Order: sequence, then C-alpha cells, then structure tokens
Amino acid sequence: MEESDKQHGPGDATSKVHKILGVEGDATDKTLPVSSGSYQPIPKSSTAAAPDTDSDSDSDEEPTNVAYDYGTSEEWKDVNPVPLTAGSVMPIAFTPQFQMVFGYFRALLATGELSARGLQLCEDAARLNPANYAVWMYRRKVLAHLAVDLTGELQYISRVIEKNQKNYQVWYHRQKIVELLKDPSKEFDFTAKMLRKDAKNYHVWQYRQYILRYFDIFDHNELEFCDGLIRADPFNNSAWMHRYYVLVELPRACGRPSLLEGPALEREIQYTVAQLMGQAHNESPWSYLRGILRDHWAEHFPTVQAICSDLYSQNIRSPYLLAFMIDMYDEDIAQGFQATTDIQKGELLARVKAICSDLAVKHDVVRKAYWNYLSQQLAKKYERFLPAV
Amino acid sequence: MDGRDWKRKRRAVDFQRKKHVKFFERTLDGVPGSFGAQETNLITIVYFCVGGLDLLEASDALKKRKEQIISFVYSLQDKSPLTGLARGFFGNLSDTSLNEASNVAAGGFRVGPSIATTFAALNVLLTLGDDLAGVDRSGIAQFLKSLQSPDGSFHVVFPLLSSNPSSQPDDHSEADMRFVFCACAISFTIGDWSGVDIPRTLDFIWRSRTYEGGFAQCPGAECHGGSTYCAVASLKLISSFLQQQPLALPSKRGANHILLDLFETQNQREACSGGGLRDALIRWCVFRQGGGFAGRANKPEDSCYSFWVGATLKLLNAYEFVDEDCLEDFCMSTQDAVIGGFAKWPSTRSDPLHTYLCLGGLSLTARHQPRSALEEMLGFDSALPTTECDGPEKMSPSDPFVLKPVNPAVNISTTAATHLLALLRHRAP
Repeated sequence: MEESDKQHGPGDATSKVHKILGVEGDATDKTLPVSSGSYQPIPKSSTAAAPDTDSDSDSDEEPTNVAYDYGTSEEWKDVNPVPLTAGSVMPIAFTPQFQMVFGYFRALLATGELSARGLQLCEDAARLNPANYAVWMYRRKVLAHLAVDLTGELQYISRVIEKNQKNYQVWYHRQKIVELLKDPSKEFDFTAKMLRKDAKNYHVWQYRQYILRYFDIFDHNELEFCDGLIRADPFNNSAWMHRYYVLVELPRACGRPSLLEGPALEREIQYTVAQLMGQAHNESPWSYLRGILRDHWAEHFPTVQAICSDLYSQNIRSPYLLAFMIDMYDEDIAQGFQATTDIQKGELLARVKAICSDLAVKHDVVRKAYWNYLSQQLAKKYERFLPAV
Repeated sequence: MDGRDWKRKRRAVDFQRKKHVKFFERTLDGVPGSFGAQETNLITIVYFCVGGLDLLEASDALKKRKEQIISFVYSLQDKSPLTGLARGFFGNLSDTSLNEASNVAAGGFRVGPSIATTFAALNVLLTLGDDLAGVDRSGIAQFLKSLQSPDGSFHVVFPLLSSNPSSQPDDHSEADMRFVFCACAISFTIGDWSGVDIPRTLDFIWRSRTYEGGFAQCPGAECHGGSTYCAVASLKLISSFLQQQPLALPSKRGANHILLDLFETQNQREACSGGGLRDALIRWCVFRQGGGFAGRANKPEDSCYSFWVGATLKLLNAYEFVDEDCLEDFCMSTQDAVIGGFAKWPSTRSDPLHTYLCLGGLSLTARHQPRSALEEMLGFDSALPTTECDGPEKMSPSDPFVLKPVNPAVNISTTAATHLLALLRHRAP
C-alpha cells in the first residue's frame, strides 16, 4: 500500500508507540515497522479535558486544558491543519482546543498519513468527541498499518470506555480490537466491572453477549454471574434477560441445542419461583417465567398454578401476578390442562373476566382501557363456553 | 379524579409554548463549544428543532429560516466522486468540506455519510416543504445497499475510504435496529426500495423479538422501547410498500408472518396464526406506562418514550390503551418552564432530543387529529382514540396545549407527511 511511505520522521518509535498505547514492561520486544520523531506523548491519564458525554450531564463548560499544543510544536510544523467548518445553521462555537485538535486530525486524514503521531492525535480527538466515527476508523487503520501490539490498545480503550460508558463507537472499537486479538479472556472481567457501575447498561450486556456468540463460549459460568446480579437487584431485567440469552439465544445462535430442556427447565422454574415468593411485584421474573414456559405449559401447569394460587391467597394483587394468571387460564381454556369440560372452561372464563375487572377498577387503573379490552377479547374468543343466557 | 382534573387545568396554563419555540430557535441560531461532541450528528439536532417548531406550529420561526436551512441541508449531501453514486447526507459541514477535492491529497482518506444523518436531513427537507428535487435518489438507494450487512441489519456509516483507486472499504461501524428503521424510512421517502433486501431485513427483525414481547437492538438482546419502535415502524413501512408491490417472500416461518400478525385485521391474523406476536407486543407496550413510559422493564420513566412507545402503540392501532392524563402529567413534569424545552426526567436539563420526542409523544394524545393522507395510505385506522376523560377545554382551538400530530411511521408532522405523499404520487408513473 502507498501508505507505507507516509510514515512520519525517523527515531525510535517502538517504545513511543507503546507508551502512547499504555503498554507497560517488556512489550517492546516486538519490532514495529514504524518510526517517529521526538514529540512528547501526552500523559496517559490526561482525561481532564474529556467532556462528559452522558446525556444527562449538565456540564456546559468548555474543555479547558490543552493536552498537547500542536500549533507550536516542532513535531507538527509540517502539517497544515484543515479547519472545521461551522455551518450557517446551528453553528458551533468550537473551542480553540477542539478546533486545533480536529484541524490536525483532518489534515492527517486528508493526506492519508498513518503514523505513530496519528495515534496520539486520535486520543486527543477521541477525548473531545468520542462519537466521531472517522477518529476510530482512522485509528484502526493506523493500528493495522503499524502492526501495533493490540494488548495496549485494549488497555487504552478500557480507559476510554470507563469515561464514555454509553457511547456506541467506543464499544464497537473494543469489539474490533478483541476480534483481532482473538482473545476474549479479559472481556468477562471488564464487562463485570462496567456492570458494577451500571448493572443495566445496554451497551455492556450487548457487548458481553457479542463476545459469547462470536467466540462461541458455552462453558463460561454465566448463570452464576446472572445470579449474583439478580441477588444484588432482583429488579435487574437485563440480568434476567441474560439468563435467557445463555440458555436459549446463545445456543441457537451458535447452532447448539437449547439448554432449557428437562431438568434445566425445572431448575429455572424453581429459581424464578423462589424469587417471586420474595417479591411478587417484580415484572422481570414474571416475564422470564412466561418466556421459559412457552411451549412447555402442559408439563408445568400444576406447579405454576399452585404458585399463583398461593400468592393470590396471600392477598397479593400485583398486576404482574394477575396478568400472569390471565395468561395461564387462557392457556388452560385453550388446551384443557385442568379445565376439561365446557362448564369448567366457562367458569374459568368468568374468573378471567373478574380478574380483568379487578385490574381495571382497583389494582392497575392506569391500564383500565387495556384490561377492559382484554376481557372482551377473551370473552369473544371463548364465547362458546359462556353459559347461555 | 378531582385531583386529576385540577392537575389538568393547571397543566393547560403551564404549557410554555412560546418558551419552547424560543428554545428551538436559540439552538438553531448557534450553540456553545460544549456541542463539539455532538458535531458528528449535528443535523439530527437540527431535525429535532425544525420538527419541534413544526409540531408547535411556529410557522413564523420556520418561514424565517426556511431557505437558509434547506440550502444548508443540501450542502451536506455527499458529492464526492470517490463514494461513487452513494449519495448520503453528512451530519455537519466539516465532513462535507473535508471531502472537497482541494483538501484531499492523493492517498488521503474521505469520510462517508451516515444513514442516521441522511434520515434526519430528508425529514428536515420534508418538514420545510422542499420538493426533494435536489436529492439523488438512486445514489441514496445505492448508499443504503452498501450498508446492509449479511444478517439483514444496517451499518450506520459508510467506511473511511482511501482515495487510492484500488482500495476497498474494509472497516465498518455498528449495525442494529436503529439503522434498519433509518433504511426503511429513507426508502419510503425516496420512493425507492432497491437499497433494502426486504426478506433479509424481515428476518433480522423477526430474530430480534424477545420473550418479553417487544424487540431488541439485535437478536438475543434485551427488549427496549427504542428498538421496538424501530422494528414496528420498519415493518409498517415495509408492509405499505408490499401492498403496492407484492414481493415473493421466503416461506420461512415467522419473517413473512410478522407483517400479517401485526397489521392485518383480526380475522386475517387468526387465519395466518402469527403466534400472538401482536398481543404480546401490545401487552409489553402498555406495561411500560407508569405515568410516563419507561424504555425497559424496571427502568425509570423517561419523556422520550412517550414517543417511542406511544408511536408503537399508534402504529398498532392500540393507542386507546394509553392513559393520556397520566402521560401528560409526567411529560409536563419534565418541562423546563424557565428556559423552555423538556428533559429526560423531572429536574434535569432540557435538550432538543427530549423536547422533540416529548412533544411528539404529547401530539399523539391530541384529540382532534386531522387524518393525514399518508396515514390513510399506510393503512391506519380512521378511528382515533377518544376516551371519556377528555376535558372539553382540550377541544378549543385556542387551547395552548394543541399540537400538530406527528406521523408515527416516519416521525415527521402529519402536514410534512401529507406533503411527502403528494410528492410520491406526483412522481409515480
């Protein structure tokens, strides 16, 4: 590729690159086809300039500290910045620092330079705008071109993600790096750490599932991991969903048989029920139970019915319990697990309608219109079982 | 009940229409350096402001800026010879200018446009009444085609491309349900679906449904209000296209039933036995409502889901299950009565995204919505929700709370949607 002659300047680059990438110790034994000049790598942890990209941030302050003054640097004097362009609509009053960093970044893009100093620049650019796709795409090109040891890159992106937990681009970058490293071993600890900061962070879960799927990992103890998070917070819907992922979705994606058969299904039902006994007003386990019972109502109907009756008799009127009971009776009427005669089905239908009415009037008034509609729908569906008037 | 009535009255006087108009106008006229991190998607913020002004019927504010904004949007269209005919729209002027020949040396890189910013740019043009004559339709269709991944989802941006003629795009960007929706909405708008492999797209959406009843960002992930909207709106748009141009879909179970199950009449649904998808989806949506809507189970309510979940229910002709009073109470609690706009949560700072989506969500509750021609074409039920709790004050044309309704499938106002429909009819052979 032509880009190979665009390396920048002479010098000992290997250690520089590693310093930039935050690789410690003996990582310098690998010879890199790169050379570089004498600029000062920016401090690894110069994150004070990072704007808080969280959507609920109320920081309107401009990033203040200049990590590196490209404008006065000998190292960069051969580069002509390509300035950003504010439009006539919603012009951004770019800070001098933002204008400087992106001016130089754009210059490297425009010339196609793939160099160690480009990596340094990317870090400043990503700190100011981690959502800029070009920064990450360019960075991956440089990493590939310089054949940089990606272990350090993984450490770098970990630090960036910690500052930008809900940014899509940084997670995608990590995904690409791990694919190249062909080593998912650090990903479990890292995602666990990120979940300790926010146990419902969609990005983390999606990423962890991607790792399991991409590397076809089925022997990692994910259920135990889920259990820990569910114990910490039974209302963590993401953790419940991850159980289903591990047992059903992951095997399906990897062409393996479902792990939710026979004793495993029994175990999951017991697990879920134990959670419900402690906290019936929690939508997540009810949804999970409904999910794992799909296609398995017949075998488990008596167990599930006994649990619902028990909770109901304790005067629990959680809309989630009642909604579940409606679905359960719907299944019974349709399939005749216990209600085998038309009379029994008619009685069950009357019960369902009563529950709908209780929900609409007393226990779940916000969904009044929905419960009334459902009651009518079921009455229509099972009209033939209604006692003739 | 009395308490509710009182709240409703108080709310009606509290709705700060003028301040919301000012909020959007101020943002359009310039933003501080802290918006640097949002430069990449600047046009989407313009879309929220222009769309918001439209819902607020602030025609003066729009008229004043119309020409300027239209020419700004066209200046974002990719004209690079390098990306061939793939003519998407960039998110900001910096990206456009970077690609200008004078800036790129031999061997240099060009940045690519994004599917999300293309969606936003087209919606801004439609909202301002532009005829889209300057939009390179076939280029955009080709752009979409280049972004679809083998699993049916769409990537967000066209990769960085070397000006070295032999180089091929080799890197990508994340792909998920958000961009499936963008691809469908764009195809609908340009009246050209050649950039979307519909069977593959349907398969991706089908595989992304969850045991909870809604849809996730990708197969296996957690059910989410945003991705559920994206999936359902995509299906709605695909279904309207297929009504005009039937396509032989693979007989694979699921993917081809999903459309029937969601949108056909009950009898047809029962005949095709789509597996209760619609029932489960409606159940999941209505369960998101506390006062406002939450995006996931056991997550706090957030004003933007008044659009994402509300519009999903609207698309399913099931909006009558929403408790509009509670929803309005929550939305109004996120209003910033000082600087204007709406926030994600009460007592947080308002922003253009939440303001636009919250207004869009509120507009779905409006009692007198003119039935738009686009809705008709998309097969909407003419029966609009009417519930007995509507106060008569809502009906009054002078009520400050009346908003122009949003079209739930394309996420532009119904007048913009009617305009689009006229354009599409005009162009049809």
